[in-house]
Amino acid sequence: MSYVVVRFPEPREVYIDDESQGSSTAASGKPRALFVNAGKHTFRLSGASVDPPEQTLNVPERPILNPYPVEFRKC
Amino acid sequence: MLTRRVRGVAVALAVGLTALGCAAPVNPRLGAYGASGYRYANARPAAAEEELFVILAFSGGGTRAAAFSYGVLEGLQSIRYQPAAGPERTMLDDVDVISSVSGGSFTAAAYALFGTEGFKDFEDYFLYRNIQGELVTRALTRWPRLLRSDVSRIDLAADLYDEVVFKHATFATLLEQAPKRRPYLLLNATDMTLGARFEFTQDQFDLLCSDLSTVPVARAVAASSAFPILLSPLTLHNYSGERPCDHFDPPRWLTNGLGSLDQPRRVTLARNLLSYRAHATDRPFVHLLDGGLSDNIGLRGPYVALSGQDSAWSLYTKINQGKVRRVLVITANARTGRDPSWGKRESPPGVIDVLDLVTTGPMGNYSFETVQLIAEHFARLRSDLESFRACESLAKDQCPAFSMPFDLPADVAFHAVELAFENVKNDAGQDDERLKNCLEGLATAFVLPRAQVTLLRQVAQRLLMMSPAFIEAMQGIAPGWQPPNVPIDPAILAEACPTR
Repeated sequence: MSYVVVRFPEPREVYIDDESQGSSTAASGKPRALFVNAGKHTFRLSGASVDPPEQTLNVPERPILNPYPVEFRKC
Repeated sequence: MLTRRVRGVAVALAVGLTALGCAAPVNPRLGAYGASGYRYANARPAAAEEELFVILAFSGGGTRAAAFSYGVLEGLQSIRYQPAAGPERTMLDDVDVISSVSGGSFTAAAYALFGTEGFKDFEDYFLYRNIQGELVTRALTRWPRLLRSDVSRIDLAADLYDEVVFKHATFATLLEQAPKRRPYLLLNATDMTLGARFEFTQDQFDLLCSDLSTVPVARAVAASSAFPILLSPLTLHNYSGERPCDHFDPPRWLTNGLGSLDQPRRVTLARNLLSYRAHATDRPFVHLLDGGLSDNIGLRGPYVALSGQDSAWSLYTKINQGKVRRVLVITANARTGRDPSWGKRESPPGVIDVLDLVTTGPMGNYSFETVQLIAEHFARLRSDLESFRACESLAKDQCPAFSMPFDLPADVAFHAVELAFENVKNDAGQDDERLKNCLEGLATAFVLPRAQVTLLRQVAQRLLMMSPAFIEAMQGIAPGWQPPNVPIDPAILAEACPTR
């Protein structure tokens, strides 16, 4: 098992393997750690102007206090 | 013991008929790929999902398992509480998924189809009925049918279950019950070629390019309980690779699972599932046996859903979405112990005992591992969430302005409840050795004396109400809830477990 944090300059809906996982951002405005099983996953955000449009990563086992970062840029 | 003799006769009969008949596929080809059919998303529409997610897992063990799991349903139905929103309800209303194998599949399927309104019928038509005797009678009186190449022993069993228990219901019938808040049903069998779990859902049938909706529920239950040798395997046709199924887009979690080379469990799951398409030409048939051969506790499917995104009903996804805040898994494990008298005798156990051990022993060992896997997974999740909070609290003590750089997806509680005979206690909270020994000596058969069936129902309710993990879960669900005392009727106990 692992945890990821998906970063983008504004709140977006996160998709892992084409399934919505809710918003990238918590109500507090901070990024949200997401539960994920380790291994290969495809990450995507809702809406336009996202670079890259999607990315497939091999997520390593990570403890909750050190989640694996998944970075998207605004373009 | 009479039941052991009955089982012996049935085994002998089955062995005698082994050469007769071979099963014919019962599953039609899929017209076209789509989102319809018996899938979690259709059986449990999003609107029905709430913060509490309840999974029941029913083990194998013939009528013993069916009665024990039925007692769990009765126990949950007896608990009424007032949720934060909406009208009063019972805990049974909160059940989202039932995953079952073998004997437990009868109870699971009957409830998913007929709800609590069907409880009395289920008692009359299955629990207190000599199903095994009727199977033997059918095999004797209808043996000429078995000479046909398209009929096998499993067909006789499926026909009997279809007529007397499931009233010709199909998976389309099951889906029609979805608006009545019925649980999503996972009936598990074992694919003989893969030695792996095979579930009766449209997601699995997509891989065979087959339409599950017209398949009788009784067929799935028969496959789930097709005890080796006693019953022949159930055969399905694998149409994948043929039109209109020559093009198939597997779910992304499946292809990504296959590529997760450093995660052997993910790779094996994906490889097994995709093999129906990859080897369609040299494997046009799928032969299914008792689900207990790959998972005699019904927990493997839920474990996959509870521990990642590799499922059509991933709990990680539901937690990330903020939908689920509490997960409760209740396992009704009707396993029995080995006969303690074996070690006291110089003469070795007989053929029937040896056959019983080699067919059920590995199942029991694997079940123990699966229960442990869920318990350890929940412990790890709880520990992670506590670590996060403890770390944040400690940092704030030293530096009040500190803020964690990210938030948790949700504050989630996890509860794993295992109900097993070895845990029966008396009113003083001590092990009830007499009752335990009696329960662990019950036969695996599709007939039990009436008193034993009633005893199993009472024991299941008692175990549920005395389970510390269940009480903890209930106190989170309905603060102030106190478990009722569920006594065992002494007259039933005396009749079911006569003192030697």
